[in-house]
Amino acid sequence: MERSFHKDIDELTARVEQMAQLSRSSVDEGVNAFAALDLNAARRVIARNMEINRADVDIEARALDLIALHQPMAKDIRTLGACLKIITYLDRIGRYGYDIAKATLALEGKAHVKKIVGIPVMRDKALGLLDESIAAFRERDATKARLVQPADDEVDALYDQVFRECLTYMIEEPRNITQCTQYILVARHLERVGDNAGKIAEKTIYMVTGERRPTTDP
Amino acid sequence: MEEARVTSLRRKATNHAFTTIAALALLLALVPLVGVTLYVLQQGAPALSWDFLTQVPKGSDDPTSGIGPALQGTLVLTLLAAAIGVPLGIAAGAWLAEHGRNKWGDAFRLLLDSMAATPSIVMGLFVFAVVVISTGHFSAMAGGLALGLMVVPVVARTTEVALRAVPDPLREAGIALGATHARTLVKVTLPAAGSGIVTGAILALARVAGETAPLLFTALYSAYWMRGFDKPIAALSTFIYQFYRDPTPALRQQAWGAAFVLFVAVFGANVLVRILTHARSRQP
Amino acid sequence: MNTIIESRDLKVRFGSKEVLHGITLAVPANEVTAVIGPSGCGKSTFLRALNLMHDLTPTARIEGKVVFGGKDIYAPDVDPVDIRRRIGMVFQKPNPFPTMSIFENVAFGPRLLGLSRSDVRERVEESLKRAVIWDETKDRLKSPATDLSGGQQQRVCIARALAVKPDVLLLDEPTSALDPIATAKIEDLLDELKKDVTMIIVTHNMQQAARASDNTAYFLNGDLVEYGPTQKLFENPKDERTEAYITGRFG
Repeated sequence: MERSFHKDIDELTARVEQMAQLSRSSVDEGVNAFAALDLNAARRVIARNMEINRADVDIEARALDLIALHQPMAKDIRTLGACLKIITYLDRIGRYGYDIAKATLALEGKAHVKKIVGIPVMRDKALGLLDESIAAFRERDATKARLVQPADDEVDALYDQVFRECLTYMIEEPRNITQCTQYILVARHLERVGDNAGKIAEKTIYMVTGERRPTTDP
Repeated sequence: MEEARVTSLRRKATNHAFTTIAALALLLALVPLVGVTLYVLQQGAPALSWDFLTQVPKGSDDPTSGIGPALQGTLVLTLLAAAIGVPLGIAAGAWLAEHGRNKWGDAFRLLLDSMAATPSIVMGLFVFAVVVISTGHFSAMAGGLALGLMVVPVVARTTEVALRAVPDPLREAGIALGATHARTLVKVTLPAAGSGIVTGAILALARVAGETAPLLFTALYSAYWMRGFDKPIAALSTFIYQFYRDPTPALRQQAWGAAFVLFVAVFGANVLVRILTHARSRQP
Repeated sequence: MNTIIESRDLKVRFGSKEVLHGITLAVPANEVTAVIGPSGCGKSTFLRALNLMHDLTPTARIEGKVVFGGKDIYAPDVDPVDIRRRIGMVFQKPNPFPTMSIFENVAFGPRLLGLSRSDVRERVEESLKRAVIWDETKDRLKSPATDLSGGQQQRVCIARALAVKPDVLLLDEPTSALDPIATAKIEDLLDELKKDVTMIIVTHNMQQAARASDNTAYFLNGDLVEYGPTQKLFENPKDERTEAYITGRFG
């Protein structure tokens, strides 16, 4: 017997997926803007952050209403609890997109030092993790979710690589310092996107099975 | 539209007609009732006086003649009936309520209903044959027994109903506290049914107080104050029987006076029952 | 877990209809165990089997065992009166004895046990205090129990049951006839009392079971579907039938 309350939960998870798309495109477009040093694109990403914040607040309010009014149990309460945490992670991911856009603006008037090879690859990998974890969430698939965290190690490794590369460039030529500092920051943001994708996967596992084992390194 | 109006008017008229007929029927039914009451009161009132209530019957024209012994007799006989009939009736009713939901219970109930339906004169005859003949004399005891036997079936039935009306959770609460069935019956169920049982008993006794036929062959009649349980005894009902067609108007007057007293007593008992019932239903 | 009472393959039949199909359930001491399930699932029948209340129903037939104090309470040499003293019961609708005062109601049990006048008085006071209703009744012990409000009456009934110092208290939907505040008072009471008396509560209100119990058993159509710590059963039930019931997906 489906009650309207259960339809409300389904609607809520759909909204979480929509928010995920918003956050994803922030990161994606942020990195594109950074690579092309496209200031207008960066400004658009910055403006979008408000939408992401609003989604966070809206979904949280709806989730708490459902909890207050319906005293959900079992899978229902786990789903709502997972949603509440996941929107926080998504909000952070969106924030990293915003920060990457800001980094773009910080390089106004400058040119790239080298082809920033590492960063687009990192972006692809990190967003790939996010896509996987959101797919697991949408499909309520714990097995899929369990595959996310191990893959995050790759993103961490890429960050180390970019970091070391940038150090080398900075030592070689002090005039590279401005750009390289931003490269390191952007890479750092992308590494954190990967981590948060891992946390989303963790919460998905809890939602489906009730297990609470931390799958990401603290 | 017109049709609707006409039908509704017709309906109202029919309604009124029936209401009026019902009211007239009620009045018709009340006439003999009210008539009897007023007549008795009217006829009997003049006889009343303190002497009347306390003096012995003294024969034709003595104005200090009274129904004292008859009053005493009715009281004694009613008390005897109560002492014999009420405990037996309650016990029978208790058995029926707690264990009587089966064939045996139905059979017993049939027996009690037959007893209740037995003409009172037959009851009197029975006690005459069994008690009066074997003891060799009419007695107050025999009279009390006859009335008591009439009380039993009524009290049994009202007791059964009252006990059945006690909600099961009450019994269960008693049992759950570790009381045996017997203890629960005595300490929980019977007290809870208490007022129902009492009103049943009062009604039964009020009814037998005015019986005449059974007393005729058992308690007989006496012109004196009670002289012993093994002697005949007066009663208001037998007093009326004695004097209702006496040629002396004064004595006939006394019969009416006795009727008045009896009427008031029975009426009073019924009013008492009403009051008790109301008080009970007003409890939260 | 220290088991105080347990049923082993308990079956109950009324006439030809089997209402409980072999229930095996061990209740831990000094905890509150809730029994939930839809109407007609057998939870009240199960509860009443624990203190021999089915003796009052002539068509009831019991198979299996209920072990309490090391003995099967359905063994022929067991005294039901003694069992009912040690396993008390509180009913759905508050049912104080109507013709008795508050004092007499609570004194009923102790008097049955033959306690002396002063012991009875002490016991009554102690029980009313344990049921957190002493302050509200100490100045009107002689007044009829039926003068109190529903919630107060129910606490008096709890005091009455406690007055014989039972080891286990069975509560059959004790708050379903009460308002939310009275209900909350009684739920708090359960938590306090469990230190001395094991509680088993049947409730049709899942939230009450979730709030007030340590363990929960879910019954469906005369079967025990799932039984475990309350927190686990409500957050992550093992059986999908339990899940369906507690999420309301089965109406």
